[in-house]
Amino acid sequence: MTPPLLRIEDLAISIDSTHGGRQPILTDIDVALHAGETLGIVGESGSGKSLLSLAIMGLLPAAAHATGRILLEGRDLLGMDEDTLCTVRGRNIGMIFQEPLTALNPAMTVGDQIAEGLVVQEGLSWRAARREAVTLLDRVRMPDAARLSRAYPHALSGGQRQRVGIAIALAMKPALMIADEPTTALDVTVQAEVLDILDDLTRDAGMALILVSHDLGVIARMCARTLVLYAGRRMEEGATRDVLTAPLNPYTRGLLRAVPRRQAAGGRLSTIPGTVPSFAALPPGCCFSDRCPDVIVACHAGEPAWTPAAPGRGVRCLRAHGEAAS
Amino acid sequence: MSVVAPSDTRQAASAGRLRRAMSRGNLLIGSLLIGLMGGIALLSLVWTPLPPGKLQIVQKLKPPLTQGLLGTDHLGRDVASMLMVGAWNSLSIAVLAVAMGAFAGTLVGVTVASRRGWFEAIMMRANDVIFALPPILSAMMLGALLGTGRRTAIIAIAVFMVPVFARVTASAALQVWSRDYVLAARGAGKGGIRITVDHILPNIANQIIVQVTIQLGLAILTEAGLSFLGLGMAPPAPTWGRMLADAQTYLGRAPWLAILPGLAIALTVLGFNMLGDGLRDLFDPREKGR
Amino acid sequence: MSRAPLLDIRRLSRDYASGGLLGGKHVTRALDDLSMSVAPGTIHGIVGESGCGKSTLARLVMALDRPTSGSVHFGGEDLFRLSARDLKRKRRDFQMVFQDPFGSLDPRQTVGRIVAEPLHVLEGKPGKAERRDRVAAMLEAVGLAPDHAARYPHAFSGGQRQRIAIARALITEPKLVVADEAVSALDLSVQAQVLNLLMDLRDRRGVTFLFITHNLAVVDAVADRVGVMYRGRLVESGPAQAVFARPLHPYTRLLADAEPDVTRFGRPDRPPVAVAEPIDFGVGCSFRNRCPLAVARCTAERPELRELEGGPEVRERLTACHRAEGLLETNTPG
Repeated sequence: MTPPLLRIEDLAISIDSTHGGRQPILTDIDVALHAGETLGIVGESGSGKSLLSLAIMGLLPAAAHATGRILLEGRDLLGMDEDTLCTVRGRNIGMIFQEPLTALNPAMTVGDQIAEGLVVQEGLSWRAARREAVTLLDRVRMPDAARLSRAYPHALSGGQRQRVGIAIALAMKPALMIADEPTTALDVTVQAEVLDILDDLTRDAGMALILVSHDLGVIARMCARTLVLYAGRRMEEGATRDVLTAPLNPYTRGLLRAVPRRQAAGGRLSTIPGTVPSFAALPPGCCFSDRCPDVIVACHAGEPAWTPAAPGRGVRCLRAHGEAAS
Repeated sequence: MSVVAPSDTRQAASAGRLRRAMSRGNLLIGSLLIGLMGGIALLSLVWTPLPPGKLQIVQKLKPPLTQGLLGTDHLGRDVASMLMVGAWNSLSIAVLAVAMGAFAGTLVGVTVASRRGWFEAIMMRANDVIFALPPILSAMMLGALLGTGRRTAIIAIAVFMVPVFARVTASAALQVWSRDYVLAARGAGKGGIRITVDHILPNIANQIIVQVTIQLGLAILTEAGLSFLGLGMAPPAPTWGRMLADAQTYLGRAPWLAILPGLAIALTVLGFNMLGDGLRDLFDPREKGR
Repeated sequence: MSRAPLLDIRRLSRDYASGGLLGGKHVTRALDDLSMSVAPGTIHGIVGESGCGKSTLARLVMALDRPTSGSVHFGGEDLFRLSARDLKRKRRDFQMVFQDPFGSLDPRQTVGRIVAEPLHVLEGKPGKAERRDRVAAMLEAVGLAPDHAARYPHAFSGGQRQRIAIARALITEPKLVVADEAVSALDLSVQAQVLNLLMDLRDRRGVTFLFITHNLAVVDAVADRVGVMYRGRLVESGPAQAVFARPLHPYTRLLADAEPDVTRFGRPDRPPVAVAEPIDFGVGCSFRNRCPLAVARCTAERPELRELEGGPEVRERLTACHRAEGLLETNTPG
């Protein structure tokens, strides 16, 4: 078997706390992603999913301290100096953000912003790079690409801006694309189209995709595999269909039940009681034990270990196997 | 403002520590400097080493420590005493002028923000006109009307401050007006004045306070400039600006005559600015809570 | 609907003018001749995408803005014909909950003061002790503790803040609460808690909700009736269950198809969604450039809301589509 494109081993990240000391955020993260694979990372706010995507992009803030390894094509991103990281970010990893407007330069035409990377990294002439930019905009199905490549970001709609964001990420033909909530700010019909575009691109170009989202429906639509995060821990991982139809972890089950759907008259939506705890106030033992409907005494005793349940499938829960059987 | 992406909060936390330490330093040194100057100014009301107006022509242009603590000027007056009284004159003018300017400017600013429309257009144009007149020019015009003196200096500087505060408060207040909690207050039936008192002023108070300290520094400079040009308080009352002006002729023979008031002005302005920076960081909501 | 409507919106339009002295004046019609009514004690959903005019509608219903034409009747009275004093008195009967739980609470006020804010419109303003009691009772009713009143908003999570906002909206015991994207910013597990709270308030206190959102699944879960908006117009309305099960307007169907669903894996077998940017046509159907069913008539004649002939599946339903009959035939229930 070929070595994976991205291998995260035993990653833990802590953040300088405002009261002095370090606050652990992510713990015990292990991920393997092969070329052409799609991985969804699901989590609510405060799950650490955005910090994880920043770590893979090599964009950790100065206050964050990482241990473990993030290997991209065999090279450890955590050990790289900033210059090398810049090249890797430009050439090997493409990034798509939630709000493309903040990621775009308001004083530059979108065509030039796509071309810029080609000029700097590939050494193309501006003329050739601009032509390439129009081709890229065509690929992300920008209507009237030639004309809109000369437009400024503010003149575009939200969906068009996100297409520009994708085109910029795509320009370097990265092996890995990381999209952090890429469609959260978009209308559903626009979201559907942007997801179609991303889907085509990963399929045609053989790009690996990591899609970070809070929306289980988007993950189901886009990703072959899913990793569920809660309070900075892996709760469950596996093929998306398995995770979403036969969840092993009570947290995943709770999330799926909480998805709004029509109830019988007088019925109520099922909920997970309480709120996501802050990292500084996690319950003892399992981090979900204070909200878990299946909790037993042993859950408070210690953090459950990550347990492989089947090939490509793992779970962090003492009661996972009992539940799966019942 | 409060809806920060997690990455932002984290970056803020990292930069936060250094910034907090620095802002504590700013706050400390700023308040020390201003406290020192204010103390000297107050002290001058009850005690100075020598009467500041006392002439001792025979002892003129003595360097520091040879005659009195800080030497004497071209008329043999005690520089230390003059600086002390000058501190009172400069600070009192600056404080009064900024207080008046801040009050009037804030009133204009919050009214503009709550009324909008033609009222806003007229007030802001009027602001621009005043803003275009340098305080020196308006002081000269006012001086022609009222005669030079403390009152003229205060009014001239205050008039210059009004548009500054009007703009700062208007833009800060407009931001608050666009928040949903103001919409909720309107939905609850509150009118413009009620909302301004309940929601707008508490939420822009920090920006006004910070602006006050920064403008105090500017007012000190402006007052010095007015005195330097003979448009401030009438002689023989000593002010830092006039001391600088008088020192010009003797720059070669007695440089301390220029250096000492210059230093006093610089330290006071620095003090106010550091205080302003420190307060701004202290009030920054991102540093609070959590 | 047998009962008299609590809220009756008649031919409501709102234009926004941009541009000014120099350069031509440009008028955008945010709300276009919209009529609808809301029965008391129901959750009435309004669905639409950004720019469809749903937030303009919320502001007009809340009398925070004045319409260009048309009227909003609340409990039989035309809100825009009331005197300023009467309108202020009337405000106790309709309150609003906003989308952003971080922006809708004044960070410098205690929760107690925030929740008590609408009380000042009551006649014979309640005294301090009564105020405190009512705030405490309200906080408990939305699932918070009375001693939370002394704290500041920053001490609370997004879901808790939204409960505080709901407590503020309910403290005058209003008949109508306008909820504009009130759960959109919340995490899934918290969202369900807040939606249940809204349903409880409807069932136990008879509160009517105008529930505005872009999220079809959420409306489908809680709403009794629903209206679908596109470019300032109501294009379809009816009982929520029927509308989502068998859309009578192609836009509703497009929305339903586009929404991701946890039970649909991989790429849906539908033609890729082509999103033409909405265009202002002036005449004809404003959806026709995105509509798979468009015919010549859609360019020439603007479709008005109408009832369809047919069986129980079209009862109490309205659609603004010339081709709705065709849609009814091709749509299989499910």
